[in-house]
Amino acid sequence: MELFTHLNIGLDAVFTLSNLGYCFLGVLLGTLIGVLPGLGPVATIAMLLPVTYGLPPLSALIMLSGIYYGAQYGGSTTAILVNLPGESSSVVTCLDGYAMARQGRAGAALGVAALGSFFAGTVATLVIAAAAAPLAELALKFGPAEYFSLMLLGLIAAVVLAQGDVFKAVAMVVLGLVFGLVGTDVNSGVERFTFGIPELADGISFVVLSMGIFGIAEIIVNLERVEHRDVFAARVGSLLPNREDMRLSWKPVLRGTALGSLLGILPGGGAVLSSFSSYTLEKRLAADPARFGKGAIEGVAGPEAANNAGAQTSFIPLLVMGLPSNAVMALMVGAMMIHGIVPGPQVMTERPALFWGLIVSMWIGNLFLVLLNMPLIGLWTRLLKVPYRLLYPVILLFCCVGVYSVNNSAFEVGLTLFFGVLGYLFVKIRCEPAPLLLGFVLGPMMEENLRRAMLLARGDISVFVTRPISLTLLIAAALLLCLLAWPRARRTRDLAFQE
Amino acid sequence: MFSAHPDTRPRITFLSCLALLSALCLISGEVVAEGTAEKYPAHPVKLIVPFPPGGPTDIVARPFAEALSQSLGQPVVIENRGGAGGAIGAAAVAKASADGYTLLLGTVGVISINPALYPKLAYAPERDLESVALLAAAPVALAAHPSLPANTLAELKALAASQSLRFGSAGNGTPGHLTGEMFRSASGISLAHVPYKGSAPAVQDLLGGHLELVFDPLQSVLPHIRAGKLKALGISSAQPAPQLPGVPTFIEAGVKTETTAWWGVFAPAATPDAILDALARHLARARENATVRQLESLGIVLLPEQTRAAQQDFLRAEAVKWGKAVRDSGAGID
Repeated sequence: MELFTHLNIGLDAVFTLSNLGYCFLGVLLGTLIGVLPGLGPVATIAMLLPVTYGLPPLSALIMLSGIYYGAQYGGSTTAILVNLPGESSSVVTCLDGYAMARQGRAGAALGVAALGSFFAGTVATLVIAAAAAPLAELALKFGPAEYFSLMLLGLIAAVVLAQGDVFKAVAMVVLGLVFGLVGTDVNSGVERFTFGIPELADGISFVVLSMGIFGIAEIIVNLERVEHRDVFAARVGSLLPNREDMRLSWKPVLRGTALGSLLGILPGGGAVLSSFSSYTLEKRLAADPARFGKGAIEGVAGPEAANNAGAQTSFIPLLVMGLPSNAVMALMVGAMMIHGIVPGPQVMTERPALFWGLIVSMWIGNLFLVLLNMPLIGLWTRLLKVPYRLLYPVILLFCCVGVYSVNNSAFEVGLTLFFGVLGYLFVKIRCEPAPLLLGFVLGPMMEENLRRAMLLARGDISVFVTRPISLTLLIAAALLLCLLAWPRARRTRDLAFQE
Repeated sequence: MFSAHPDTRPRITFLSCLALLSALCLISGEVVAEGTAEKYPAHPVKLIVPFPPGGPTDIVARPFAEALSQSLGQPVVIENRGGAGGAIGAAAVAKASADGYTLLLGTVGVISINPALYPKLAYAPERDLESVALLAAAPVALAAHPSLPANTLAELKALAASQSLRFGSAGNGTPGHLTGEMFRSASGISLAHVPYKGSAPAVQDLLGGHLELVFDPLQSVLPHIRAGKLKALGISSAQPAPQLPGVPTFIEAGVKTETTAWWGVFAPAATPDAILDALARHLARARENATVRQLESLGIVLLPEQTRAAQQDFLRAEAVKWGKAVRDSGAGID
């Protein structure tokens, strides 16, 4: 078996005391910055790059990638405990994870997140080892037309599966699209809705928007109802998921892992996209979708598995083709180049020890993470007992530091506060922010790919139905729309709304 | 500040007086006159990279910053201030105090293209920035999908007569895009431009065969050319690239287009000459550093040390060349 030979090469390369040490250091650092809201892997890896100059290339890459997937683990902790997305991919975890924490089930939520992530990480590592090359080929089949159809499917799913009022959900999606329009148009280079502010020329960052609408808004709401918060802080609950939790979670974890492994390969926020898709899928499949948003453990297990799998497989385009699929991967390209390794298809054949070593280290890193995080759950949940008047200034401070560190821009800190106030308004008028986020993420990508597909096809609109992958995605989107119109589905939706 | 100073002696005298004054006035007591310039730097130097970490500019900046730290004996800290095509970071350096402690890693885009591209730029490179040293350059490569039935520019021209061809670039107003526009008008080959958000997605679509051609700085396509997943039809520099033996320059193939994407260190305009000279000396030493040398394996050419006058001549010519390309292509933004 070739796979075992390869894994053996990797194991030989990784099992040195120093490499294991760097792996542990990486995931530890990653967990920490993941827990701290806003402080993301991009800023951390950029800061640590100079430190890695002196290290052997494999050790450097092991540590840096450990920071990345460690951050995905840590990000869910903050999402569950204080409703702050520690990482952009853990936004969805806020929805049900935080609801679970309010019911005193923070321990169960954290436990499921950690175990689900470990499982997903393990599977995704195997996927990379066994099928990196064919998967990369598959990703290449996705041209602009396919991306457009995929985004369309995502947007329709967002509306169909949103809770409550369809009208409000559509309004939030549209508002998200509008925020997504801000910035420089890729095709013409014209600036839209930037009001001559250069800081807006590249658009509003996802971190700024999500941190404001979820995190800052939550702080404002909490300050309004202090007594409520104290009640739920008193009960932390059992630290581990019980048998019933496990029974409900294992299928969502499997599905999330599959979704995440696939979507992670696609460029442009694979991890974010996969956690959102997993959430909508679980809600669709659930016997009682009304539980979602009110502490459904499936809504934590699925997306957490998905974002970790997605984070892992987003290494595939980098390792196989040398193409970074997100900002962290772009940094990894930088790290490799500094060590004289040109990322690209030749790495696998020319530096097998490095290539397979990095892959094996991911699995070891995931093992470290679960060993590190399970005992930490007790510590994290105790954080909830810290009085809120002490906790929130610290959270606010870290939010500001985190947002600032993304671009070294004070303007973005101010913008986060603006979105915080907006998010508070949404809570007051009972508008769910999740569709807005999806519109914000998908809208600009959809427009970009629609116009690019049109440019490439010279305005021939049939390109979307003559390409098989695109056609399949469009049919799925049409089916979802029918579902919306289908009376029975509507009734259940309305029922859900009344609850 | 790209004006040449054929005779620098009066300037030094003037500076010496200024330095004497500064020495008397400044509490910090930083002496910047000739002879005492070795006192600089007394604390860490900030190198602003006006693009996000991990991009091509960052990749050039980091080894140089590391080598410069060793040479200066003070840390050189990289601060990534991305946004608005590098305009935010460049404007920050243009407004910084001219003491040699805030430097810019300038690019062809930030220095030579942006002024033509954006009418309301918050900095004017010629007025606000002084070049310290030009560090490195990369040719723009014309890469094609291997299935394209053309291996030379002549064959490409013949093909374009029978089939519509499209070229991708890393975005509007990037060196790749503008080189493509210059190439199009110089060669008479009809090509449609498809802009992307950065190099990676453009190269990805080229690899997938969703478009026929990409104009982009060599380092982003070189690994794929080496692996046989893409082929190079030509490069834009005056000299052929050692990394691509047998690939002609555009000029060799009869198309009068010559460009490079380049990087250099810039300082606020009023920075004293003594500091500029000291930095240029240290950067020349940094070029010999092994990590910096590794940039060459990526398809980047390290530039030899040049006098400031020569750099200013080069920058003036670049401003004219790219400015014309922006106007001809209609990429200018109102």
